[in-house]
This record gives sequence, structure tokens and C-alpha cells, in this order.
Amino acid sequence: MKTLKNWLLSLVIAFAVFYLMDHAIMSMQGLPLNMTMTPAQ
Amino acid sequence: MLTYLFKPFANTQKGETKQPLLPVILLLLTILSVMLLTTELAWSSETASAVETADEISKSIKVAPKMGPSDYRQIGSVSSRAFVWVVAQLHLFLAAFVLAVPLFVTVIEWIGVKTGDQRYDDMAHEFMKVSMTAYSLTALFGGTLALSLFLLYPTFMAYMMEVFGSQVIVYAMLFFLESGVLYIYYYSWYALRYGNKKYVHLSLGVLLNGVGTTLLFVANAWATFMMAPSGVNEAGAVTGGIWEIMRGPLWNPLNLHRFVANIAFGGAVVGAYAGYKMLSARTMAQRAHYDWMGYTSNFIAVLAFLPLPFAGYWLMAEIYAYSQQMGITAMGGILAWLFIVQAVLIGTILLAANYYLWNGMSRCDGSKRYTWLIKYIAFTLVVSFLIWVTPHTLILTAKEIATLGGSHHPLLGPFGIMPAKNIAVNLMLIGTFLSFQLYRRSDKEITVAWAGFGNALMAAIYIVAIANVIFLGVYYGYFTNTVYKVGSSVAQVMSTLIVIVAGVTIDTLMFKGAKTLPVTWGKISNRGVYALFALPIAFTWLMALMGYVRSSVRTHWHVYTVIKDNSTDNFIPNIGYAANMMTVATVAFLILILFIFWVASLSETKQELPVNKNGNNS
Repeated sequence: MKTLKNWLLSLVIAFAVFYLMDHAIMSMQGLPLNMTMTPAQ
Repeated sequence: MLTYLFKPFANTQKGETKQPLLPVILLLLTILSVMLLTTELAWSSETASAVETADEISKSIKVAPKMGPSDYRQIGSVSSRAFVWVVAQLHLFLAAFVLAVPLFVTVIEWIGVKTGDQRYDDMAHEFMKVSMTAYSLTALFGGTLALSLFLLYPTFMAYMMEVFGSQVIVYAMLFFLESGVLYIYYYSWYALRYGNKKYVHLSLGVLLNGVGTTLLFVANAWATFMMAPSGVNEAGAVTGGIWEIMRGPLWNPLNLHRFVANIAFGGAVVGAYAGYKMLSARTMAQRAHYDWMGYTSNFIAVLAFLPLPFAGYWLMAEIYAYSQQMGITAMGGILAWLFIVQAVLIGTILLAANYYLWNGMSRCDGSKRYTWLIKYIAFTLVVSFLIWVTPHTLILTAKEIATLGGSHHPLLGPFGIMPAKNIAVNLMLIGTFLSFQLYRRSDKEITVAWAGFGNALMAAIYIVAIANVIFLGVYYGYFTNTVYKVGSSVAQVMSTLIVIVAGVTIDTLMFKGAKTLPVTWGKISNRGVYALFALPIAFTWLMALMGYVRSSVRTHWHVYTVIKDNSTDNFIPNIGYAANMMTVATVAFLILILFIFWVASLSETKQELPVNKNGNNS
């Protein structure tokens, strides 16, 4: 159970970090993204 | 962080914790003096200009020369371009080596002081010994290059002297300073070895690196001025101060790229020295010593190599920003094919570095926990390598085009464009870092209470980073517009950097109080050591290749858009000719390196006292 919790928590943290990083990097270049990661117009 | 990186060799016995402030002060003073000097030159030039009248200004400004056949000279039937090409390349190889070695030597020396382990000090001294032999050769080739340029391209060099003026004298002064400090640093090694004297010696190391790096940056300004001139008008007349001339748009990208590349190159060359010494070692103690030295060298080379593609990316981005035409010449025209050769060479470097790490894992029984992962890393590296070397357009006959159904292969065509290559490069770097991390964990038994979470977090970061790199490359690369394709490559790079930074941070925290498992230095197979020879050979070829690309983007200009090249060699040669020239320079350098290794080893050889006929020593 503890192992499962560790894995779930780790995956959530990693996903959040990379998701936010993608948004931040693209916005900094003037290329904002929608929540679905598609290019925002 | 550096202690973390070198820790397997560290003696846990700590020395005194005095902070070496002197090195920092000396470095700052060096940088400050150089900045003041260059600024002073710029100020004096600007002040002088201000007091002149308009007539005087118009008289004093000299436009760039229009070069004709009489402005070029030739020795016999030897092509001037070919001669200067080889001499300049050899000088650059040697200069890169001698400027890089003191950088990591000073860091290793500092680690020796911090950990109290004399082995670091001995290793740093041995690295310097190899570098010292190369130093005089660097100066000899530098002198030959300068004389060749003045002899073969007198009008062009007169213009360069007109533009850079006293800055050239600054360069010469820095060279004198570099030589003086280098000799004092090397020969005072044992005189300034312990206590406060060691900090004086470390300060000399910092000063040496401050001067050496400034020297590199000053010389880079000449190369970047020829590519993207600044401080002159369209006619080539000097309109700005020396600072304006130096800080062209490509200066800092080239400074960073050469600085990092030099360290990787220097690490690879001393790695070959360690490999050579290890294979010729007669005792296990010697073999163990040189095995450790080889590992450290490989580590330096790989550590510096990992951020290098990003520095190269910045340089190319600035080249495109300065002139799209120049960027397209480099990556979309005749020179584009050389980027495929570059991929082969970088792939060789990464495969060799990984192979060495995998072999090195046999030094520790604890590595058996991780060896099952090697086949997956190897698979990723090989597939990524194949994608990276897939060309976009093929040189085909009409019949072949008809058979293929077009100029692009229906299945392999998509692998020929940048998004696929960005994915491949980033996955190769992530795979290499994973090999490195597994190696680092081989001799550790982690004891922290949160080890389970730490391992899961590290694995999750790898999984999500790899997924992110592939998603960004495929989705933005193939299904959105070009601007998103280019923009997403930055996020891909960041994904790789996050893996590296997170890996170092998590491991540093997890290794606290970890049980260290025994490591047997010298146990690595000879096959693994051969990888240490593959690295410098591939690095040398790569430098020759990319140096040629960087220089050739000027096409038929000596100074881009300012001075036209009207010599008989004012064209980009065909790839075969260029490859032969690079190979000549590379092989010549490797012969010089063998000579340097031999001379460095010669100092350790002592002749036995001859025995006379009576059996007594005479």
C-alpha cells in the first residue's frame, strides 16, 4: 500500500512539474497553450 | 555539488574548513583589470573622436579594402587556405586543451584540500604535467598561424589590425601573463602544498584560469567579428569603440560554447592519457591509479558534454537571428550534410561514454542491482542514434526517385526533420545521465527512511520527462505550425535539464548516511578502457567538423557583408575535400598527442646506473 502511495504521489508531482513547465516555457516565448496543451489563439 | 560528484574517491577525513577567499578576489581582480583595460581603450578612442572635427573624422575613417589578386600570396603551389586551415585547426586543438586542463585541475586540487585526500592533489599535478608539454606546442602553432596569416593575407590582416588596434597588444600581454602564471603554478606545486601556502597555490590556479578564459574570449572576438561584424559601418569603417567591436551578436554564444566544449575536449584527451597509462601499467597499484584517473577524466568530459548541445543551440539561434541566410547556409544548404556527420560523431561519443560507464560498473558488486537496465538504455541510444543520422533529403538518381515514389522515403522521411532529431538527442542525453546515475548508485546502499519515495520520485521524473520529450516533439513538431515546433524544443531541453538537476539533488539527499560498498579500481576490462580512446578521437574530429561549419557560413566573405573574399579559394569546397582536410588536421593532432603522452611519460623514466665489466656500478 505504501509503495502504491509513493508511486501515485511521485507520478502526480512529476506530471504537475512538467505540465506547468511546458505552459511556462511556451508562454515566455509568446506561445501560450490552452489547458489541453493545444496552441491558444 | 562537486563533492557529491567526486565523492566515491573522497576520504571522509575532513581538513580544516578555511574558506579560500584569495582565489575569488584574484579572479575578480583579473576580470576587473581586463574589463577596465578594454573599456579604457574604448573610452580613449571615443574621447579622441569627440574632439576631432568632421573633416578630421572623415580623413581618419578607413573603409575596408577591396581585395584583388595582388592582396593574396601563395607559397609554391600550396593552397593558402589549406595551409592556414590545418595550422589554425592544430593551434585551436592545442589551445583548447591547454586552456581547459587548468580549469578542472584547479577544481580537483580544491577538492583535495577540502577532503584532505592527497590522491586528488597527485592526480591534478599529473594532469598539469600532460598539459605543460602541450603548452609550448600551442605557442609554436600560434606563432606559425600568425606569421602565415600576415604572409599570405597581408591586406586583410592590415584591416583586422586597423579594426582591433591596441586590443591585439592586450592579447599579447595576456599571453605573457598566462605563460608566467602557468609556469609558477606548475613548478610551485610541491613548494606550496600544505597549510596556508596551499591557498596561495589555489589562488594562482584561479588567476591562471581567469587569464586563460579572458584570452579565449579576446580571440573569440576576432572570429565572431568576421562572422557578424559590429562597430563598423557597411563600408567597413570603424564607427565604434573596441568594446562595441568585440561584443558582436555571436560573441557570447561562442564564448560559452567554446568554454564548455574545451572542458569536454580536455577531459577526453587526459582520459586517453589515463587509458594509455593504465594499459601499460606493470603493477596493480598503477593500474588502479590510472583507472581512477580515467574514470575522473571521462566524468569531466561527459559532465561538460551534456550541456554542450544547448550552448550550440543558442549559438545557432543567434546566427539565425543575425542573418537567416547564414543560418540556412549552415543548416539547410551544402553544410547541412555535415550535421549528419556531426550526429554520427556525437552518437559515437555518447555510445563510447555509456559503454565505458557500463564496463566500469564491474568494479563494484553492488552494480548487479542495476545491470538489467543497461539493455534498455542501449536500445534507446541505438534507436535514437539511427533517427538522428537519418537525412531529410537523399542524393538520388531519377530511377531511384521513381522507385521510392518521391525524393523522401515514405516511412523514414519523417525522421529526417528536426522534431524527430530533437527527440532523439534529448533521449540520448537522458539515457546517458541514467547510466551515470546508475554508476553512482552502484557502490551505495541507501539508508534514509524515505528511500522508497525518493526512488519512486526519481523513476517518475524519468518516465514523465521521456513522455514529455516525445509528446512535445511529435505533437508540436508534426501537428502544429512551425513557430510552435521551434518553441517546444526549448521545453524539451528543459525536460532533460530537470532530469539532470533532479537526479543530482535527489541523490545528494539520499546518499546522506548511505553505506558505501567496496570498489575495486583497476578491475575494469581492457575493452572498456578502449572507449577512453574513442572519446578524444571523436571529439577532435567533431571540433574540426563544426569549426569548419562555423567558419564556412561566411561563404565568399572574409568579413561577412564587409570584405569580399576575392582569392582563388572564395567558395565552399565540396564535402569530400573538406572531410579530407579535417581528417588531415585530426590525424596530425592525434600524432602530436601521442608525442605529448610519450614526453610526459619520459620524465618518469630513470636509467639504471650502468654496470662495468667487474660487475660494479661505474
